[in-house]
Amino acid sequence: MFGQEKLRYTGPFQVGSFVGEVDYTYQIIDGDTLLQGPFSMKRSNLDALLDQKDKTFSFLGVFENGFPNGPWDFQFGEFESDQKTEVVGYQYRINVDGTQHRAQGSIAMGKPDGLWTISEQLIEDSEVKETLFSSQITYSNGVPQQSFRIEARQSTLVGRFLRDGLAHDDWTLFSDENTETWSFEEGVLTQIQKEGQSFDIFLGPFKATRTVNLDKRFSKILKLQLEQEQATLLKDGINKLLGENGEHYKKVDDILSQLGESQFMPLFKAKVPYFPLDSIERTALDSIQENYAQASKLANGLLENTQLNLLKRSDSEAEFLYLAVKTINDTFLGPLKKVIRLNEHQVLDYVNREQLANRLFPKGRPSASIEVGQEGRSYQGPDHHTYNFAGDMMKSLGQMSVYAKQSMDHIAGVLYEKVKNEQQQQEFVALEEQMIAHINELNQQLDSIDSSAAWGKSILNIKDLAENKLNTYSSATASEGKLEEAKRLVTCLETFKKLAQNLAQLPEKELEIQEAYTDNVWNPFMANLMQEEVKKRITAAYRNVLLPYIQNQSGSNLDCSKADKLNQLLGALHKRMLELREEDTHKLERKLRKEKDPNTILELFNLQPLNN
Amino acid sequence: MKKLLEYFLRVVLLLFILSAGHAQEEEVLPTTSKYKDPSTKVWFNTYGNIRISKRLFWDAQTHFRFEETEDTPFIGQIGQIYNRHAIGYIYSKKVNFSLGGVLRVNFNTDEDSDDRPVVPEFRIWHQYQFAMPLYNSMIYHRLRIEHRWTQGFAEDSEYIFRNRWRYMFRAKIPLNNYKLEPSTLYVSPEAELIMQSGKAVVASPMEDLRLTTTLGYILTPRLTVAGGLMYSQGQTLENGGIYKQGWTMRFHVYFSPDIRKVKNKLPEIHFDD
Repeated sequence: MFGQEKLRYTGPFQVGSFVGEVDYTYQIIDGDTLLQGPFSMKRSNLDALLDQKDKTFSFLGVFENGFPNGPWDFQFGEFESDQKTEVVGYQYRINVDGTQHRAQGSIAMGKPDGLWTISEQLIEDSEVKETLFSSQITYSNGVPQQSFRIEARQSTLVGRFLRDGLAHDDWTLFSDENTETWSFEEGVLTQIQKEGQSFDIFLGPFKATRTVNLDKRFSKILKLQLEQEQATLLKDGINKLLGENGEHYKKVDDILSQLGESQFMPLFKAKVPYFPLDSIERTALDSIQENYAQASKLANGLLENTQLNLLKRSDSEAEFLYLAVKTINDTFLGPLKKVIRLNEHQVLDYVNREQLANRLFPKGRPSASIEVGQEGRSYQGPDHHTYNFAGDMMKSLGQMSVYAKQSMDHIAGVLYEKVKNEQQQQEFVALEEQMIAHINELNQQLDSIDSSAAWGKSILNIKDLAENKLNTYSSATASEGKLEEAKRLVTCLETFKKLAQNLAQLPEKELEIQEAYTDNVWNPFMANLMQEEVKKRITAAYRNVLLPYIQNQSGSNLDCSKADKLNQLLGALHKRMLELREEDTHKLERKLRKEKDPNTILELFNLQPLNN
Repeated sequence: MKKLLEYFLRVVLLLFILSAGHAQEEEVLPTTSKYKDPSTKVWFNTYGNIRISKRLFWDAQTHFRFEETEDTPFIGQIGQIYNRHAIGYIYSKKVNFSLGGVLRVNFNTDEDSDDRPVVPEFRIWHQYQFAMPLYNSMIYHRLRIEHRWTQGFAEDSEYIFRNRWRYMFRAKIPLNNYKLEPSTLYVSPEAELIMQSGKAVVASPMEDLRLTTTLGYILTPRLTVAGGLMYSQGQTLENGGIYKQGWTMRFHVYFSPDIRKVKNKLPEIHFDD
């Protein structure tokens, strides 16, 4: 191994989110890069400092066979400058303000060894103004030893460890206002004293205990032992300071583990009682997770449904069920969610089940008959009498999750059906309003024209037909297909209305055609311009064959699809007539001679005949 | 146009005065004018106005003129077949000019005559026509000048040359409509004075004065029919003191086809308005 050649790298380098200039030596062994020897990585940027602020860092240390080993010094600074410079000797000096984090100590093969000092200092005018945080812990091969000291701005925590790193004796936080003391016995936290209060934590004897790290999980386990106000009281203080210390160590650990092997996290240890989940409880937990996911999805869907929110204002049954959803969400799904959270944080194994029950259901376990609202009415889910939530905690929770899910299924079924009905009713109302509007317009159409005129009779016929259809519809009983029928009828009535409009416009259209087919001709004998109809065979076919045909068709055996075809034909015919005026129609005119069949004429005009 | 009109009117007036001067030299003039008995005639006239380009038309007229004889009263027998053709120029909708020739075939209607039964007559003619709208009617001024070569029926008859100076005033008044357009019945009073000059014309410059009233019906912009009665009188060439008279029934067909291709017709008639 020592025969391997040492290589050196200097240049830009990135470790995690840190980018800077690095200088290190390494060996390549079996294709792996192993850092070997001194390591330095730095960054500072004068331009950034002068411009706004500079984030600077410097890591100095030694590696051995890829493990940090030897003295290490980490510095992280965040500085800004007042931009005043001064020349001292042959150096430019700039004063800076900011904060400086520093971690200093010795590492033995990746684990802290000896005294580690971590500090956070406030810098003003390039001088230390105040120490914001400082921790001094002595390690032996990664295990904290003897006494330690963690200082925050206005408080100091002191305590001590056994040789194996377990917390022991009183850990006391001294501050200006009060003191907080955690009393450990061989790693077991027995009592906490703060502000003159004292509360017992883990009192033996225990069936089993487990050694855990004094980290976030520990504080969660601790929190489960405490009353709400106690937990609030302990939020600051030792809990917080230990957390802060952990954060600092984590920062250094993140860097070291990027570079090589390391276990830098401080392993403060404590013993806690252990209540492992048995296989039945694990099964119950799985079912809780599954049922909770489905039930809560349903509950959220219902609670956020806008139509349901509207409907419950007018429908008391809907309101009752809506409130039931709310209640189930609060009394069943809420606690179930907490259990799932605790499991995710891996603390369920460290809490007494009864204690857990008290914590989840401070007012007692819920009953399958759920009281809803103020009026004393209860919601009872499917098979409610078969449920009993009084037995074993995890089993009961599992049953609750089943019951909650089934109830939610049931309520969702009823409410969504209600919403659907309501929607349908509104749809009917809207469709029927449209029908009436169409009929009214048809009547107005009839009022505005002379019903004795050529088209009057056809329009009258259309109106009668439309009213008959509406009468048939309104006397039909509600059935499965009625909504479809209503939709069809609206379209049909609109088609009739359009046909009536088109027919009423025909005299106007005819005039337009007549004008289009009129030429001004100079009469030399009169010396004036006279209007002359051109392409008379086309206009004659239009006037004498097609229009009477359309009138006839709209007056007899009319139905929706025929009316639609007539509408299309009328539009297409008018357009085609205007086109024919401009086209060369000699052949067409010849063919039109004596032609009296409307469908043949339509074909000659290149229009779709009505009957196919 | 006004100037042109004025000029022609002056020429007509001058010729009239000059002719009148000659007339005084005629010796065989009766002391008072004598009017012959009126003769009756029937004219069937076709007037074609065939558009051949934007500005040009072919003026094609064929008249069949019948006159009474002792054996065939009233409608009479064929007197003249009259072919008048010209190329016309449309100056504007209201003004047009024509220039062309006439071949008239004269039939000898004198049953006792041993002379030739048919003789031709030739003319060169030009015409200036002006129209003016007036209320719902139209009035027209027509100046027509003809250079005429005629001969008698006698075997050795020689051509004599005369000029004719004609001015016609005509109105067309719609009767059942507010303007002249298809399906309109109109009445058309008309007066034409025909003066003549030439070596042979000594004392009879006023060849004919025609007073006509016609009733017409416009069938289409391209076809009109009309019929009317004309009274005419004028000096005989032989003696300026003797006047012939006539009552003529006239029947007219006016047609104006457009033989241009469709694409050339567009735009229709928009000359300058």
